[in-house]
Amino acid sequence: TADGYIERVRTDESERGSLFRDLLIHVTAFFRDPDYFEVLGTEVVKPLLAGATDDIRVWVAGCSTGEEAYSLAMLFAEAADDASRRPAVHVFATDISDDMLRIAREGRYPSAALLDIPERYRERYTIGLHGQFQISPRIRDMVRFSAHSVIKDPPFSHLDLISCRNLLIYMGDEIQTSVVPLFHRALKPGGHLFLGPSEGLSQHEKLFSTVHQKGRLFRRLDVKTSYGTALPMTRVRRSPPHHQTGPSSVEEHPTRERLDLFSSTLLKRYAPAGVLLDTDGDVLTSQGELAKFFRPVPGLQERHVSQLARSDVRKALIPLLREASNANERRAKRDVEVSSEFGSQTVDLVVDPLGDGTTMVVFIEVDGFRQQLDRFYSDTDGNDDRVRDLEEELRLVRFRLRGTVEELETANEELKSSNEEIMSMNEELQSANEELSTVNEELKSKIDEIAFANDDLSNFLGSAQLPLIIVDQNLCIRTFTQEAVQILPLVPADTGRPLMDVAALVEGVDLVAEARKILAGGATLEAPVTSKNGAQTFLARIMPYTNSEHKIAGVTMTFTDITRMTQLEHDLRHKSDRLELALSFGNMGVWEYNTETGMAILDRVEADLFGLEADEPLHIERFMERVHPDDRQLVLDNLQTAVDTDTLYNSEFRIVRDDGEVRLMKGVGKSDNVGDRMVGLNFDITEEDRVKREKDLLFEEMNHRVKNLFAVISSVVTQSARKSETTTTLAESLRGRILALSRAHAYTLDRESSDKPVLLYDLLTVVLGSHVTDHDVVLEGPDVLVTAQMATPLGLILHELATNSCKYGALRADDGRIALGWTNGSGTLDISWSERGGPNIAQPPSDNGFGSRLIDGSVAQLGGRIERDWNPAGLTVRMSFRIDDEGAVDDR
Amino acid sequence: MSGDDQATTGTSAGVPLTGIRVLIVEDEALIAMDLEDLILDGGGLLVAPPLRTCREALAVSEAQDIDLAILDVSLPDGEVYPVAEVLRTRDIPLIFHSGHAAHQDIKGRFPNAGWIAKPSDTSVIMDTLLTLMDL
Repeated sequence: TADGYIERVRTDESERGSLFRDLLIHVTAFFRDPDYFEVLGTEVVKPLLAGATDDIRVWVAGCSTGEEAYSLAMLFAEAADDASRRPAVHVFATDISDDMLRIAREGRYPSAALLDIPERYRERYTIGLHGQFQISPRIRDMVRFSAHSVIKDPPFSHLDLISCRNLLIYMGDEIQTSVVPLFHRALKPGGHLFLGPSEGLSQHEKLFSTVHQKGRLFRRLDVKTSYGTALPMTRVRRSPPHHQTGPSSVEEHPTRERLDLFSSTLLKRYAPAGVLLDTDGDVLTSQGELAKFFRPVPGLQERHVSQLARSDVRKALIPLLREASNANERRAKRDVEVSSEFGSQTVDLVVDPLGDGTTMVVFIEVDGFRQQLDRFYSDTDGNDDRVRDLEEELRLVRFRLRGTVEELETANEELKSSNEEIMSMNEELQSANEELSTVNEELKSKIDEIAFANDDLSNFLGSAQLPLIIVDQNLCIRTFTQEAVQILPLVPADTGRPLMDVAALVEGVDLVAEARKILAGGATLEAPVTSKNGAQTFLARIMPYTNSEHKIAGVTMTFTDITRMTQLEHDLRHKSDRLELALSFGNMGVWEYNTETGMAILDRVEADLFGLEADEPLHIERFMERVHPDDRQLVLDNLQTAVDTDTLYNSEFRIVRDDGEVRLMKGVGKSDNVGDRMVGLNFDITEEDRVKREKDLLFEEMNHRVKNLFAVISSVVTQSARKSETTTTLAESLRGRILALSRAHAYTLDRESSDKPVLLYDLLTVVLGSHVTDHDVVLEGPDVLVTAQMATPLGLILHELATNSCKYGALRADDGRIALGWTNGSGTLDISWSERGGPNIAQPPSDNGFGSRLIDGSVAQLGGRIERDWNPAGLTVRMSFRIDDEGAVDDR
Repeated sequence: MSGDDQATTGTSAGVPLTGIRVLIVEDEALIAMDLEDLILDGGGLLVAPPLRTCREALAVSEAQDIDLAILDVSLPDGEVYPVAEVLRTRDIPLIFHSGHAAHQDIKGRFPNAGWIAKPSDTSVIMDTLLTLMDL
């Protein structure tokens, strides 16, 4: 049963072996796929031989019964003949089946297989035998067979060609995947791999280039692969190859076989002669020397015992046979005398039916054979025996010799095989050695890489000038940079010291406590710390130190010196505060305008200035809506010019506020270096503009007045000169008039605003000067406001009146007095000048002098009227002017 | 104080303005007097006593026969240009006499008018008068 068989397989090693052998597939042939062999011959074999400087090494993996290996050997042998080159060619043919290898080693195949070998090879490389043919020794010597597993054993190396045909197809994907890199490794650079028609490189196309697609011929590419997993390095030493050497050893045969041998030998040498008859009496088989009892009969057809037996035997045997047959039991007849041509022999005849229809007849010789004719006896009888003995001995020796020769051949074969085995092992060792040196190289390059990485790291740490401390899981210091002494007073020997034993030079963060938090899974901490003397500020970063398994294996602490940054930040804040203060005092709005998008960001002041919302960026169109329509193009042009020429933007424009108020704004701005950004200010200059205009106006007015004044003075000089008799009087009158003008002007120029009305009283006091303070002229009248416009004419009028009075009137006398009074009502200002206490005036002055002409002109200038009353008691002058409520001359 | 004629500066050439009727518009009395003396000393006639407002000047300039006008620009009731316009339409030569700088547009409007800055010497004023009158 199946279960029984499984049990047997488990326990019986030999059964296991035979099952394994049965499972192996051994299908092969000479020159299988001959077309591809042609390709191989032209693409690989010939070039190899042509360029060979060294031995050529070929591996036939999975050679089975060796046809493939011999085919390749023939290819090489022929190519070598053709090329007249004879480099040594080694074909290593391996298989895991010892049985197959045995056949392969013999190199003897049925004649039928001869048809597979191309004709040109047959004569050269095979030797015909009866029904078989033998591979010629030359080919046989090129091939070395050995037991080897592609999967389990290390591969050969330095190979020029690997033929592994129709082996991979019986393997699983995983093994196929691992075998191809192994072949890659086994081959020399540029070596070739020859696969079966339905086999491929299974994901390793990068390792080989295709030489012939259909023939599955590939060339090794010189690329690096990792063979670590693919190469079967750990191998269990296989059991030594088992060579069957024939039935020469007693121990190797079971008891049963031994018994057979014994029986047959016993029968052959010691048992009596006999025959076995069938039911018809025909002889089936015989045993022993029967010539004394049977006649030789020509023709083999006659086999019946009655025909064969000599007459004496026949006479006794026939009845005995009948008797025994009837009784179906053994019968015997004693002392039957059998005569023949040579002599007579007495035998006991035994007939024994065997129960299956056959009958055994045994002749038991009772005494010696008696010669019929005594005259044949001679002395030479002894010599005959001697020759027979010698011949017998010779026969035995020959037999033994043949056995020994066979044994020798076998032993030779074994030796050869062992040699091959050793060579393979050598190959394997070499291969392993190479692998080791490769690994060694790799290790060395790894060490170099680590050294580089180490150098990089230390250089990096050195160049960063960064205080860095790494502590392990026990909070012991593992690594620190030179700069870390700013944080902790560390010396090189402090590596391994607990962190808490070292007093920190900084305050602000408890390094030990924070490191514990990190080890407990806390998040990275960033906090400012200051040195104890307060001179330096660091930004401490305390974060987990993760190892390659992404586990927290410690804590990394870095300290970035931010002293300068902090200082800068402080300065910047200070500056910013000042700027902000300036901006807010100046009521300056800040804007930022993106020339690309047209969007503008504005601050609160700016928003207030324009009456906009500051919360989000606004498009410049929103600003433009506020700008006075007449000024919009100007603003846009100025902006564009500033952007295009990278100059300052400067613009004055009006905006119209929601309440309709028009304000004058000034805008300045500058493109920053970023490109499409412009930053600037807006501020309200309405007030400044007004003041400026007023100033301009005032300046213009003053200019005009001064020029006018000079013109007046020029006229005064001209007029005075016309009427004066002497230069003394001219100078006197000029000085008086110019002083009067000066006083009047001084008064108006002292005023804050020339347009502002003044009290008439004040004006008269200034114009008359000492006359008023000396009480020569007494002022009396209500508070009346007059404009400064009246100052010059009034000043000149009163000066002339006073001058005349000094010369001819009241002021000439010591107690003369002048009453200067005025009234105001219904738009009219009446001023009266009354002189009393002066000398009598009989008549008005005859000449219409310059003084009175000046008075008349000045009164006319003020649009007024004048009356003079030349009363003998004193002159009375009445003047009348029309003035409006603001005190200005009413010209209507 | 007695009237003698010794100091009539710039008029020594005799009486070049004989028969010329001159309009003076000037609100400053002393200057007006000066101009008046200049015209009279030169043999000219005054169309009216010096006028000191636009209102008076307009009335006179529209009604009277005038050969020449001397106009102060800045007057108590405004600038003198309306008067100047009237005179121009009547093809009467005119001189602006002002402390103000002349604006370009005014000069453009009155290309044939003379300009005399205040203060100026009487001889300069006379020369300008004569040039304008082609005398």
